[in-house]
Amino acid sequence: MQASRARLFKEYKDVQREKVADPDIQLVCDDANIFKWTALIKGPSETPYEGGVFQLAFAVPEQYPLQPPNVRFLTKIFHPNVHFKSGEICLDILKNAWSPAWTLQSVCRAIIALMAHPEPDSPLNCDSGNLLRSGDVRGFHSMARMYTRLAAMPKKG
Amino acid sequence: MQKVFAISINCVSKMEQMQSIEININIGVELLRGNLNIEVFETVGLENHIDYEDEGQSLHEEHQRSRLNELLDMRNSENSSLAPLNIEELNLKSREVDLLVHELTYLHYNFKDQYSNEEYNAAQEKIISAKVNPDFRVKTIPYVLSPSTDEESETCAICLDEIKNGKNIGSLQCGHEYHINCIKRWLRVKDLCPKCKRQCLPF
Repeated sequence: MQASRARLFKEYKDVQREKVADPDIQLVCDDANIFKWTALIKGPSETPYEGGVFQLAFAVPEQYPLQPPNVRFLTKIFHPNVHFKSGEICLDILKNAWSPAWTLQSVCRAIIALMAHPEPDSPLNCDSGNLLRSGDVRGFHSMARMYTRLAAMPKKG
Repeated sequence: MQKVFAISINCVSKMEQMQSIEININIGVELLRGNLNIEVFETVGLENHIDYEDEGQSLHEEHQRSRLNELLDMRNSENSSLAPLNIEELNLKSREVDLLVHELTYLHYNFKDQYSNEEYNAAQEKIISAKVNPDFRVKTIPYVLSPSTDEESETCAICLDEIKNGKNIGSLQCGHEYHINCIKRWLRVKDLCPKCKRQCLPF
């Protein structure tokens, strides 16, 4: 219990310091519970997610950093490795390839990288994966773009 | 951002200890109010911390609050030139209380081994002269020491704390170093170096 707390304090302080350094990630700790965090990440450029801001929810287990945080998208996203309904993310470092050397901040970076480089062969969103696997990049792009506009961009007016 | 070390622990007399607590409280409060734009309280190690391992969350918070009250009482009773502060006025959220107590408790423990006696005495000197100055505000923290260990300091990737020179290091075959207790806990989960993912145990 105390080890995870101490480590999260460290991360909290590091985040305060790095805020300016990483304009694509805004990590915020819950006011009342250091085991709950949210992040806002910018969709990477030259992807259908460009211009969108996506919200992630982190639930950190008490065994952290020996066990990975539980992360999911709160913002709808059309991506082969993100469950369309639950926002669950299929990413190896959040499962069996986890290492305590990762931090909440670097996990955000990994998720941004996943957004730019989908893995259609291990899909959580089959429609999205099938589009890419069948080579319909344009179809995938327009679907992903549409959902970015609908869910991740500020409404006009 | 300027790196500043607050040194104040292990003071010789109780009086001096009170003064340093007072200053630390001020720094902690200013830090929480966001008025302080420097990195204070470089944390060194948590091994001296009270371990709340088997206690519930509420008990922990209660303990933290009473500890903070205790520290604030010390501050208020020792210093009449500053307006008394109480925990309600601070309007701290539970995380901030935690953080503040964490930092303050921390400062009570042996910072001393980090510095030579000369450095330490110089810092002490400055704390005391700061105290004499009635205009003392946290903004002008006078006891600034640039850390000599900076270029050498390495961080344990598991707890993110500094690895102190040669102390309690667990080094793996790949050459990566962690605190021995940290890496032991991880290796029980998985037999891989957290940094390079190489296997560590020879079977």
